[in-house]
Amino acid sequence: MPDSNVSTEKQKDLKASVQKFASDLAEKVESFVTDISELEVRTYTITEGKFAAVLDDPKKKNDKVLSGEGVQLRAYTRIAFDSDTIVCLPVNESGQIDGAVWDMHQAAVNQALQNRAAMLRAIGDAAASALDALKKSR
Amino acid sequence: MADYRFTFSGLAVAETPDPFGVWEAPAAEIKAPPVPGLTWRAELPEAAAGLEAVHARLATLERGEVHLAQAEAELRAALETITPIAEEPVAGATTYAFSIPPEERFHPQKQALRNTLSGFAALEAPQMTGVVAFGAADVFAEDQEREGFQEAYRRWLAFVEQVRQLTSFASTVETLIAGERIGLTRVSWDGDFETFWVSGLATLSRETHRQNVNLVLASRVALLRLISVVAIGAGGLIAKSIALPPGGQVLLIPAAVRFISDVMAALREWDAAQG
Repeated sequence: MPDSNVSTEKQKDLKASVQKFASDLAEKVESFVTDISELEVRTYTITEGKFAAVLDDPKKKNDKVLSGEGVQLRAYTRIAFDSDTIVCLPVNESGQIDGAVWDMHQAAVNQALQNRAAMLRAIGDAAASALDALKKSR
Repeated sequence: MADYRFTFSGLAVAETPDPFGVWEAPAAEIKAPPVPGLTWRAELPEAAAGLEAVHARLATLERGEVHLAQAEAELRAALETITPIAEEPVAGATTYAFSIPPEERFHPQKQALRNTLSGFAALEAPQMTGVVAFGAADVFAEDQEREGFQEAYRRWLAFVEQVRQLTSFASTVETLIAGERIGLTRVSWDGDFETFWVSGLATLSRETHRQNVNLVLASRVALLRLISVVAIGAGGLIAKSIALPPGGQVLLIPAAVRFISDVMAALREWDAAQG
């Protein structure tokens, strides 16, 4: 096939691809805003050498809470959009709060909160710019 | 530094270089895990040096963000140089001049942009009532125009795939020290976190993984910022009223993708050359 024909075909594909990209992005923003109504953070500990058995198992990919030999959910936080919060604290065998796990979990909660704010801003900007460019092109 | 590896893998991203220069494709023999999604993996020899390496990558990402801002400024500057010319070589035609002085710092990248735009214009021309040309005084060789278009097309497909994956799948962040996974965090697209730690992990190793997670989160946001810059740049090209048929202006988005990534790559090379 001559190059010019290939280019013409590609050009048609490209136009469709760009339009789909912008509309997909707008859809993503909508679903992102719906999905961030609550934030969940889970912290597990796992026995050394057991990562692969638990985490690389495709059968477990849709499990909300992972379980398996050597894996234990140690702490859980759920923060609703209106700031209602549920926290499950990690305790050790003697009933004391496990400081190391709690520190790790708190650090993860902070990262998750900061990430959500940054993503919300970034995805909003990206979608607004893409839609603006698309609007100008019509 | 050969002992450190920061890899990014997922469905069909291997050919897409990270525009920020932080992540690389994994070695061909390493298979992606069977669970769908993106995997960002830091392989480090030991915790202390590993933490330094993660910090160094964070600094690279920050420099990449500066490069992105510079690339955006260069695109704006390039837009300023696109001007309609008064003479109409063909009646009813709109002709634009896009002149790039040879001493211009980003001459090759701007030349590539001009070739891409000319390629688009040439492809669209048969459907138009008028004639569009960039740099009317110059005649572009057909193969240059075609090459510009095809390269923009290739980059565009890679970019779209990267964004699609970024906005569709969870990111898995893995930290390996001396070949052993010590921490793994899954971050869903909407921000839920699941973290898995090896029981009884040392503080330094925990900090290394935590910083690796920060690096991945910042990389995701930086890629979203890249989308904004590309779209704003394309909007600027469109606003120049480049005379493509209705709907054809949308093709300027891939031209902006190519230009931005070309300039960022050039800036990264200069940085590397300067040590």
